Amino acid sequence: MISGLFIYSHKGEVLISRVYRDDIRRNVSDVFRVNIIHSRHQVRSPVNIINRTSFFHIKHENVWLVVAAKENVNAMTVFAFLHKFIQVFVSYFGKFNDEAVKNNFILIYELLDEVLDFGYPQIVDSNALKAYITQEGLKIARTSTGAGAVTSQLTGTVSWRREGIKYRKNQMFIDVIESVNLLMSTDGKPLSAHVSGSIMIKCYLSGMPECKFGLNDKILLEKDGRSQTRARKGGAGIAIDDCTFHQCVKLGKFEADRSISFIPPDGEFELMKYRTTDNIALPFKVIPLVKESGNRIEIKVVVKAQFKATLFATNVEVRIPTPRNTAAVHVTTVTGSAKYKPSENAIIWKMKRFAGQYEAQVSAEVELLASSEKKAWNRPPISMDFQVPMFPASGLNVRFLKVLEHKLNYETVKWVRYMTKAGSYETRC
Amino acid sequence: MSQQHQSQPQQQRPGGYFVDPKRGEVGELRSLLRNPEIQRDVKKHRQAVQKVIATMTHGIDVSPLFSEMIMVSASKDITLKKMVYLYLCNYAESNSELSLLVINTLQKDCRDENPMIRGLALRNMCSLRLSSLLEYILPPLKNGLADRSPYVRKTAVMGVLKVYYLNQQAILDSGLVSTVYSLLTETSPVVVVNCLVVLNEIFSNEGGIEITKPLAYMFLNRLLEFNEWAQGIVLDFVRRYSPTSEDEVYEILNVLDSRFKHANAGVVFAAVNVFLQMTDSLPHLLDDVYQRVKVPLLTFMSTGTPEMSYVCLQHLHILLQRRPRLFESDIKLFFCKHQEPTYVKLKKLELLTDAASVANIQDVVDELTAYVTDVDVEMASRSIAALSKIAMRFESCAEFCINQLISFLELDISHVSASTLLVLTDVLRKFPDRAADVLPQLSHCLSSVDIPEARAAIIWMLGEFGEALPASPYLLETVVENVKDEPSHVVRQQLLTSCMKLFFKRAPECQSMLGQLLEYEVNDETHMDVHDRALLYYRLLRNDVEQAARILSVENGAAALRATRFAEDELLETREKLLEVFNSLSVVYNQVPEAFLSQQVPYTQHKAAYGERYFASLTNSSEGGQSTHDEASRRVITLQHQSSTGNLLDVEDDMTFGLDHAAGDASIQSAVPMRAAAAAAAPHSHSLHSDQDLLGLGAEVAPRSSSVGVQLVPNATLDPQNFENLWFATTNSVEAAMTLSVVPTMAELERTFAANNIATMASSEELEAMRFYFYAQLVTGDYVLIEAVFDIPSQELAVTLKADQAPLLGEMVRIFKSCLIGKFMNPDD
Repeated sequence: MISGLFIYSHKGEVLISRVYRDDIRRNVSDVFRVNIIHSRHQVRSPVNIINRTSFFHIKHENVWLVVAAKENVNAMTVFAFLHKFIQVFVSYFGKFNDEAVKNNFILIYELLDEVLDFGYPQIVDSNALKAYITQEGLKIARTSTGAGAVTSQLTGTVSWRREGIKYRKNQMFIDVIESVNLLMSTDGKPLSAHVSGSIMIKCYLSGMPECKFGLNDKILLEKDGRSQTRARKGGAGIAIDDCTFHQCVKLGKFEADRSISFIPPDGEFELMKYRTTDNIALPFKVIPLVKESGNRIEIKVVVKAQFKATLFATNVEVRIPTPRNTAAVHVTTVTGSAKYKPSENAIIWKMKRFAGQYEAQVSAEVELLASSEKKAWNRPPISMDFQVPMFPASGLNVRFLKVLEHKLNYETVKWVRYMTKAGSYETRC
Repeated sequence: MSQQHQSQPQQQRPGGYFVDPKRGEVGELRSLLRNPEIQRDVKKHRQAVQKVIATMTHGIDVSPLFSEMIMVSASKDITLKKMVYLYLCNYAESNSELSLLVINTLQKDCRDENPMIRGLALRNMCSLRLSSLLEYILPPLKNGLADRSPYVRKTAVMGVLKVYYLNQQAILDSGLVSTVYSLLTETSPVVVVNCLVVLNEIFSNEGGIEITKPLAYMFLNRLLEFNEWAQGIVLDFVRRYSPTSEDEVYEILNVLDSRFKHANAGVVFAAVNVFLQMTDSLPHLLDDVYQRVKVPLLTFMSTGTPEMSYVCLQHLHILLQRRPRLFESDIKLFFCKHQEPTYVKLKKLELLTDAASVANIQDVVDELTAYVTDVDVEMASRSIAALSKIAMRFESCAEFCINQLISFLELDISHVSASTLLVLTDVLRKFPDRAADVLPQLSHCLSSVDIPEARAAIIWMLGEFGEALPASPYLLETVVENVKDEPSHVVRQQLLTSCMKLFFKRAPECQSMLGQLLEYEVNDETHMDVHDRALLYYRLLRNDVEQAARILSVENGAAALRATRFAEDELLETREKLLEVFNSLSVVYNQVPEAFLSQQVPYTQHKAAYGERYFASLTNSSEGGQSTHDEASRRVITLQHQSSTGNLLDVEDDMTFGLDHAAGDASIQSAVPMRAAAAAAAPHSHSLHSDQDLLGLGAEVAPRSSSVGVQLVPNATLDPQNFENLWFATTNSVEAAMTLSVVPTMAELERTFAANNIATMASSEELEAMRFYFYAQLVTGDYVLIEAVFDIPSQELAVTLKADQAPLLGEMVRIFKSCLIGKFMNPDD
């Protein structure tokens, strides 16, 4: 269990300090500051033990979120809690940074009072918390009947949704967001590639709706015996290596017949996370050509979009690293803009829009300073950033979404979007 | 600053609460709180209280405002109330009398019709930590447990635990524990899980509440009702249940299988843990279970945040150590990405090395080779060490790995060459026939590498395998010619040995250089150990050359065999224990819990009795024979280990670079595998090794102890039982107090004293103090026993020394002090 939670500014100023248990001293916040934040050495672990007190930390934007614990706690739960806490924070204040903490610190103390009691996580769900802790003070809690409803929601089995929600127009938005992670060897062979996807839902539905959600999951399709019909339409379903669901999903049902059914929380939430490694459609291919000769390096990089010509990618950025002792760089390209940024030791090549099947090229001449350092340039990989709307790299498809509310029986308007983003998309050169 | 407060209290800039608070501000705040105008306006009032909390967060003592803040607690505004309660929880302890005033308000709030307020009041009442108010707290607590709102009930349950730590007896007498017990089966899951947590802590001495079959099944059946955090706790509880039959195991695992799909890593890990513990005694299931649980773990590792990846990797490592081929086909998931934090990369590197098998070895070696040019020096050197480890483990790819290693020498990057040279010494010991490929690179390295350990490695190779390279005597000759400018004794010592060895192989070319070197070193006295060794060699040669040749040219075969043993082999026991505590910090630290947790010292009232109890526990453990479990005796073991390395010091070089003349010494042989393994695992341990410390000791301690007339024996030993007997038998004692200028860590203090021949018997950390028991042995054989208690807030070190001979005590105090002066204490104290 958690003994204390602290938030520090970038420089180590204590912004929030909440001690839950007496087994740590109040000055324990100084111990962390002196030993970790102000340490001259690079931090070698997110978990550190100093004088028999364990400190877990996460650095987020310009703040440190730190937990101190005295006992042999469950490290994974602590980090899961910290990340969840950041989520709650962001959903309250938009951002989790120095300024947001300073401007809202009273509300943060209120939150800290609810999310943990004596160091044990209690209610760490922004939907539930928002019902009674709001920026305007305690709106609902003022009336005792309201408060009764709130507390029964908090402590009931469907803690993520309260009763009596009403919308005039019942809508549900589904966003399939995939991050492609790639490590490509110099000779264009993928060393490792996987997609980590998440299905985000924005839910504006009345009452207590029950939803059923279907994907082109290979196992499910084969079970249904529909794989042949689907095969004709192209794509026999995808193999999901592993997936995790929001707490609202009835996991027992998924185990039994791989159907995803749930009573959704109100508003935005992440329904599902998944990982696939088979048959990934890599959106871009990067072909680097680097020639080193004395004090010059010639770099040529070709980027090819491998998705359908009808689609296009946005915000494409290619980062081509250059050696530290670079003196001058001459970059030429006809597509987008490419600039050498000395502060980042890299050529940044940006393209706003990149059509499918298109091929773009940049060439650069790097002049090096004569350097006394004998260290050879280690050629860090070329990395890419991009977004490709309506293109799921894993091939995942939403087959259906059924919404059923027995009492109200309304029609639901449903929207589905796909988006593939670059995770860590690296090509060695 | 203060003007700004008065003139524009409501126009706060963003972050305005954090603008440079000064100590004088407390008075300022007081007048704000007392101002009736502000009190009437809720908004202004809130801002004023907010300012108090901000100041408190800053670490400034605002306890003088206690009475003003108590007045605020009567307010109807919930935000104000919450802030005041936060304040009170921080300062109630130091103002116990005034706190009585607030009890009234709290009690009233406990009867409020709004369950939120009832909960709030109850939570804070229990957090005040005032045992004097116990009689006021217990009745509302009792009511809270029977409240109709589950929110209040869950708060009350946790309150029982808080009060329990305040006064254990009161809670045990009050009968509240049985009420909590009965709530275990109530309807609201949030209340149930809090009951579970509370009972587990209260009965922690007995290992938590006993898990029975009905209880386990009750929790399993209701599992889905609990929220994500509660599920983790429940699963952790269910883990302790031992099913009666194999079918029952299947049943439980089937129920829990769906948990692997949960988004919360805590739940997944708890479920994995249940799988591992319940099948531990069913070996035929283990393969399937490991295959099953690795999937969700790999997902969190590759898609989670860096912190989660790191923790995940540590847990995967435990699984890997039990099933070496578990990740044979998943090896690519451990490839490092450029922008990952170093701690993740280094851990992945370890897993890559350990998960390597014949099936994926090519991929692993290629990948490791790619890291060698990494900007991070540690990453590079660990990759090199990993390659050498793989070379020794897989004979089939040894040739390829060694070729890679040799090619690193050509890269001409100083730290890469140095690390490579260090690991090559181990590799060549196992594959001596590859020396012919390595040696030609050395002449070039000798001029470019300047790290002493790496230079010593070059010289070792030249001495050991010099016959493979015609130029080797001439390479050594250049070093010998510049020996006066060679600052490192490590290099010089190795140079002596290598010249000797090469002399027996290629006498004509080496004779004059060896003579020159011996002459120089015998006359030079900057490094006594180098000087002594030169003298030893000189006398050996003069006495009988044949004999000398026999002593120095020992076959390396035996050493080579041992070099294939790795440190992990000796950690087998730890590994087994770590599996028992899967899903905890232990795995992250790679240590058993006893090694890093402080002993259970439940709160200050026991402080006085602690010394006696400590001795009792020492005695128990030495009698019981389960010494590894007990903190204190474990320390003793560590200590003996340290002292044995101390003894070996004079042959330090030979341990590192082959067994030369001292090969006959049994104690050295036993130390070699460990040393070699450590070198293979982390080449930098060479420089970390204790030899510098201990050399420093030789220089420092000798003059000091001779000047005071009390001589301490190095490496004295004393077992806990005798220590205790002596302690109570000895009546001559002297007490001393000193103030330290810094707060040292326990390990620092212990090291400092160890370097001065004062050994640690036991030590422990208490709430605001550290306690040590030291001992030292005089040349006369008598022991001096020392108890030292360091109070952290005041930095006072109180020392009690006991010895049979009273006159010695004064001198001993001086020695004790002199150990501290400089590093921890100002000389004038």
